[in-house]
Amino acid sequence: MRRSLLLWFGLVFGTAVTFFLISTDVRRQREELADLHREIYRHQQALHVLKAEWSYLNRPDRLARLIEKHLELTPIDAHHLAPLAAIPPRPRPLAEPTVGLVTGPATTPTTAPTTGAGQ
Amino acid sequence: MIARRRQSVSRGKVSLVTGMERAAQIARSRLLFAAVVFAVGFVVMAARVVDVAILTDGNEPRLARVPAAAPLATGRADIVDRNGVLLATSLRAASLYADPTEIIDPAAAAAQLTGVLTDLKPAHIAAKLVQPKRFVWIKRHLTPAETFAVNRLGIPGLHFQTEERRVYPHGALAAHVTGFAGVDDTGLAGLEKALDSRIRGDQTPVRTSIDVRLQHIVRQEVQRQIDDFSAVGGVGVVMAVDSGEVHALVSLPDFDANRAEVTPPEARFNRATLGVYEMGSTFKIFNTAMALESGAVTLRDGYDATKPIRIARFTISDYHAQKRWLSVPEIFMYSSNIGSVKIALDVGTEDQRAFLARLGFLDRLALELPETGTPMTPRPWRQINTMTISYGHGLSVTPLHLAGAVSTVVNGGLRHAPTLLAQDTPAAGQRVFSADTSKAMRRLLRLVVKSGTGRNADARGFLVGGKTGTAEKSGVGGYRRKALLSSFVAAFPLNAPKFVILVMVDEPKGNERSHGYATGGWVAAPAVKRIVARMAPLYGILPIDENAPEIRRDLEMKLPTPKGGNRLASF
Repeated sequence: MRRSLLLWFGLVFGTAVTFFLISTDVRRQREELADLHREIYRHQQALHVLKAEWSYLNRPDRLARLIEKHLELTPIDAHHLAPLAAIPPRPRPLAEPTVGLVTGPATTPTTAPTTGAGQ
Repeated sequence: MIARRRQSVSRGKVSLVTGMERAAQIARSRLLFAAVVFAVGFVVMAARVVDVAILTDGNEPRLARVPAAAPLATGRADIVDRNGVLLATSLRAASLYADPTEIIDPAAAAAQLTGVLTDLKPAHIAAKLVQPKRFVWIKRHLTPAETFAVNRLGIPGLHFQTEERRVYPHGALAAHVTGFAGVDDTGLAGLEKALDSRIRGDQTPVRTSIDVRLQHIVRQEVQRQIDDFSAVGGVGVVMAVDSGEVHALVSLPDFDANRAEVTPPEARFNRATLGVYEMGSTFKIFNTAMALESGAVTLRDGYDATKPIRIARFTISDYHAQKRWLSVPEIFMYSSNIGSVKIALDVGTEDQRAFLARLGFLDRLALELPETGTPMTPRPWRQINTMTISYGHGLSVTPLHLAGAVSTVVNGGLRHAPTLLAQDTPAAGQRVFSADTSKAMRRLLRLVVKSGTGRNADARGFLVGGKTGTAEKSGVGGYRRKALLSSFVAAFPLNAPKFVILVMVDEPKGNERSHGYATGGWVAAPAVKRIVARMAPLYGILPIDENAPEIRRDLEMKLPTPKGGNRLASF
């Protein structure tokens, strides 16, 4: 009888302690969460300012001025551009001396050099 | 038990023992009842505990859900260009105010403050600091550097309040489009005013149809012409012909949207959308198009343009007078007023009016801006009006009216209302001209640039076609010969038009390089040429061989002669 009573008391005590620990932990995490939210908000604000600054620093006239000052670039002329299709096909490589010529006179030398086109 | 009770009743005696027994029995049965009730209660609770803890997870997620961090909310939504470049945003800024009762030495404080905030006057501030109030604004919207400097002074009685401030990173570049918002965050002009409730209500950015890169190019080129020809102002518009989206809208002079309140009102006047002007010869585009569409003339017809037309007290003569019979293409190419008047008379007043109405010339400009102009139309519309409107006088419209109508002429004949908001799926247009008329007009526009008055606009390889316009501005007591409105309206590439470009320069003076001319062909056309050459790479428009057979077939034009033989205009 007394042993079971002790057991029950132990159980009640243990549960109370566990619940207490959990609740303090929840409170701590909640504060941490609020901190994180505040930090996210601060970052969002910073991001917002940076975006405005990025747009400000990318004013076309400023970029043109900087490029003129620091780079050796000129405005692109459309005649510098061409679509991929306009590039002529790679010129056919010159026929290389084929192995057939070297290995011996047994093969007919006239047929060998004409097969270079596939490469 | 019941039997026994009956027994005792039947015996007729009540014994003490049976009485105690009965009490015990009642107590036991009550205990039993209570035990059963409690047992049932505990079983229900246990079942519920098992249910909640193990079986059910519908209402209780395994991971606690918490509301996400509050998104950054600003009082006004951002305005961005078509590629997402920020044009207007709201930033938090500190505003400085003072509580005069806390200020110990107002004169010293004012001196210190104006040493840091140099745009304020010491006497003015000192007067504010002795007022018997608890609150006076010193300065709104300080920069972070100013905030820091004021904080460093350490004057008691000065406080900051965080407010939102509208910031336009691109300053003047798109100021006429975005407009501006006032110090208390209400839109006062431009899109800021027109879309005020949308900008206040919805956090998602407003995406305009403007392209900042193109806007910059157009602004630079128009400004260059204004400087070169000592003009008082200018307009530049680039419009996509298939959607009506305005990619660039420049009105010069313009103003820094961040300091709009202190700019002169004339800089805030939007010439492109609010100003109405007699556009001059560019109207011959519509005159010719409506004549072809209504069947009044064909490209093989012609008119005698030897003598000026005299009507009432007016004389209508030609600027580039040829003094001979002119075919319809030649009338367009040499910009003959005499020929245009004769064409218009063949179209008739009613048809002319109907066509101009369908092109939107008779209604107030429909655009997402508060600054839109209403055309000045002749009332009543007499024959003399029909005659002058044929070459662009007597009907005043906004430059954007003109750009929109030229889009309709070249894009195959469909009218798309101009818009400043990016369109993901362009709305279907309304048909005004047939595809054939549009094709004929493209040939004529090309002819003007190839061999007519618009040669200065011929950007090699881009098939530019257009029409010059040089209008005398009306003043007190008639037209002023020296005050011109020189314009050029163009479309390119003409084999499949994508963009319409309008450049207009207000009161240019001829210079040495233009041999003293200040006409549209000398003043506005070169700007159009440079805009085309600079914008084509941005939009991936590649130069093409202008002498390719299919291009020549589509855009070349044979000029008929009175004898019936054909003469090639170009090549």
